[in-house]
Amino acid sequence: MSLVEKVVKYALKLGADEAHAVYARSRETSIELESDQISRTSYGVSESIYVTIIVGKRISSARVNAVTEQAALACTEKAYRMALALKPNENWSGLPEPKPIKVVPEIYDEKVAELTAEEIAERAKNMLESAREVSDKVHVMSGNVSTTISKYIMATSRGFYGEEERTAFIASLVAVAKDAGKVGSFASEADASRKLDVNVEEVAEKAAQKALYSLNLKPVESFKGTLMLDYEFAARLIQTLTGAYNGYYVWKKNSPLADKIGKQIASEMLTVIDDGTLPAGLASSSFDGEGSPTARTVVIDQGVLKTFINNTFTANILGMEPTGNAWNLLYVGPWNTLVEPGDRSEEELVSEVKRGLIVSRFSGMIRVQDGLVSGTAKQAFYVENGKKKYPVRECMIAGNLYDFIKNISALGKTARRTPFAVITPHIRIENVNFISKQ
Amino acid sequence: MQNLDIDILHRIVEAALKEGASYSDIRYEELTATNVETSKGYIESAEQLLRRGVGIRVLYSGAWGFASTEVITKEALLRATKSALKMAKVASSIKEKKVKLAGVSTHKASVSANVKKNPAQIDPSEKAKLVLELDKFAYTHGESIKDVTTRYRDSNLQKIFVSSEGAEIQLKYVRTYLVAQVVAKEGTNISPAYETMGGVKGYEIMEGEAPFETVKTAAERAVRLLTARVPRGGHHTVVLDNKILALIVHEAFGHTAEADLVITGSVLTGKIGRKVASELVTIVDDPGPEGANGWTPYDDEGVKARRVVIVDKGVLMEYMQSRETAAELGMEPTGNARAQDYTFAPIVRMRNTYMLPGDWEPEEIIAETRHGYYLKGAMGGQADANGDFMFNVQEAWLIENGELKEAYRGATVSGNALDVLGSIDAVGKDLKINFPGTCGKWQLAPVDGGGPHIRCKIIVGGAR
Repeated sequence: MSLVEKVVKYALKLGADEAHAVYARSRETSIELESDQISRTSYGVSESIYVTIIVGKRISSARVNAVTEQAALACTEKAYRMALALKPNENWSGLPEPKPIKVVPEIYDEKVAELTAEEIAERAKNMLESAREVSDKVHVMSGNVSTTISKYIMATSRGFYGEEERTAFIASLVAVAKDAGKVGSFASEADASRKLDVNVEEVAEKAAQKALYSLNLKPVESFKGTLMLDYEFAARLIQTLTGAYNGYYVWKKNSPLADKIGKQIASEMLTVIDDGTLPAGLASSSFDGEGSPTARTVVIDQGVLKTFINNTFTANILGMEPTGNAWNLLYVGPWNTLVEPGDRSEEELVSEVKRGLIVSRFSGMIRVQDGLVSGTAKQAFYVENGKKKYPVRECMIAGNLYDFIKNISALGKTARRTPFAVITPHIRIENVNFISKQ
Repeated sequence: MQNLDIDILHRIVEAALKEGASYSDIRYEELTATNVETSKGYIESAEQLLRRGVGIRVLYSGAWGFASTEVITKEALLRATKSALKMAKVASSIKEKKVKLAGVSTHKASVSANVKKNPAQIDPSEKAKLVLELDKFAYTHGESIKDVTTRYRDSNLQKIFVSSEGAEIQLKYVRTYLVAQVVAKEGTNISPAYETMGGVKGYEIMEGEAPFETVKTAAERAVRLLTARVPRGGHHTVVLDNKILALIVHEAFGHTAEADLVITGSVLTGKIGRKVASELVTIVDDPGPEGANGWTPYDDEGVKARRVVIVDKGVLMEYMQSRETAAELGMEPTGNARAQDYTFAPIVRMRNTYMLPGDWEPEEIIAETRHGYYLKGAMGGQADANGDFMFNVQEAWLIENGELKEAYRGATVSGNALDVLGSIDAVGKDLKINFPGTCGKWQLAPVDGGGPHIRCKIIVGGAR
């Protein structure tokens, strides 16, 4: 019997009605860059057991690391004692019945798992050198190349048992350009994958190019025009949108989409899919945090809101079906978020813009509750009559997320993965207010 | 602490030297924490955590290696030391610039946070009862309040630092926090608000009126701003409350005075002795005061932390340093090297960063403002190496002829830290340092900050 099963059994013996236990182990090797140098190298192993106990609808959890059987059982007792000190949570409806799990392929890559510290360091060095080769004005502020190998085992008192191994390779770089006493704006770029297919040189070059062009910026007047979201900003916008169709936040009155199922909430061009089953997906997993199988859920279909993402807890409260999106027994979260690509090449997207900005990074607030978008465009290019003109000195973007998705006028035909586990093409939005800071 | 003999830590750092390291340090940490959270009138999450582990850092041939482990036996620690040495060797073979450490005096000390009631001694049922009461209290502030989350957290953290230079520091932290999140909704208008309290404090802060005041502030704000409009965007004269000033001082200015960023290139690089702010401005980063969330008597390199006067009457005086940055810049370590936990090596971090008070009454600043906004309550933000920043504010009151007229819902404020600090023309008497936060510069660190009310010019983002 595995440790998680022993913990569940012990919880029931103590008097729990239901129990859920998760064992997680991860091994991380990381090479960090700072101030144009390899700065720190680290290797760490951590493991923990997390047990949740339900006694008469009273829910209590405890976590312990440095896992031994003795520590795990002591942790179970602690959770049990705490449960007795609580009052029942009447919203609790019970753990789900186990359903068959389909294994998601390619979330463990031996090539990542077997990468040595030397090999990771070599990649970090290549990344550093690639950034410097772009220009001697470019400096690496910070960066990281790392691998994580994790193991996850779960058991519940309903008889669920699952285990999965995952790998991740992550490369990130923050560059800044300096010239004659002038300092540009941070430029970051990152890529992450379950597989050994991240091109660290490309990450470095992109960050360096962005840093370089944020050195010589020109101001623009305030205007109303087209906003073209580069991958990073598009991913950020879509990631915020996932909060609006998250069943937990819908229940918590944090979403204006609460009564919009079946309604057109966005341009017909927008289709958004939550997918926990995507092969090699950064956020893919065969089963979710309560032991339900993950799924591919079309959330927004040609602009129409089809459903919310739910776990068993929120689905019961909202009178819906769970979608395999449990982060744990209570909270809900997205897996991989896919935006269906459109039909335009990057050149075509730009050529149709009369006046607008291509924005790579957005420093500001996108508030899910009311959609308020307020902040500054970073690494932005001014476009006029279909031509990229010049990089723009900080300019503010003011608007509303829920208007933005209605005003999508085109999507790029190439979707790209981002470290947010959002896979999106470029998104073009009309009628956006740009406010000059001058 | 369980089963840990400090002599083992000394033997491990000695073993690292025998293997060729020029320096080594080791940090043991043990954290116990309790989280209790409400949702929809019920306790939704009640969590107890126990986490312990060791981080080992070695300097070998001018390069750092770091390893962490959670198995605390001599054998496991020796294995981790070997891993750290291996990592350092990998780094040293490709590193151009060799790490040097500024010399410091070696301390043997034991310091405990001074709290009246350790929350570990309080029965969990009492904590559960309190958050439920607070949750219920929040709903009494209006029918438009549709959702409340009250989140209580406490922790006990023990740290032991031992270095190959002979330092031995034992620290005990006790932390207690409360977060209140309130959502008001009416028709299609949704108004969220939140408020926090806490720091290196005991359960005594949860007794009495303070937690109720925290909830009340969030609840009243959510209701007040339900129908409020977004302010008109533009460059405005503004009065900032203590909390927004705290954020600007930390995010927009403080980071640019962290020596690691100074070395890479920040707006303050090479500006020591130069005027960077209005002469009314004095900014410090302080290991204290007692109770502040960033309380750091000794940093994670065992350096006795001291107050850093970053700006004195508008002039840049010094940067915040680790031993490594201090050696590189030829300056003194300041006790600003901090690590998130034992799984991280320390980097330069702020502690409690605030602006010193001036001689205006806060009400007087508003009364003497003809037209502008009074900005209250901050909700996080971002800043850049060049000092450009962007923050979310919770509410903005229009000031007309010295009087507060209308509340607008918060939008963002932005600008450049040096421009904003240069534009300060009134500094209040009301120093307040109690804005516990978590700073995320690659690693998380508890910090605090504040200052008085001030008046300056800033860009308010909102509707056109």
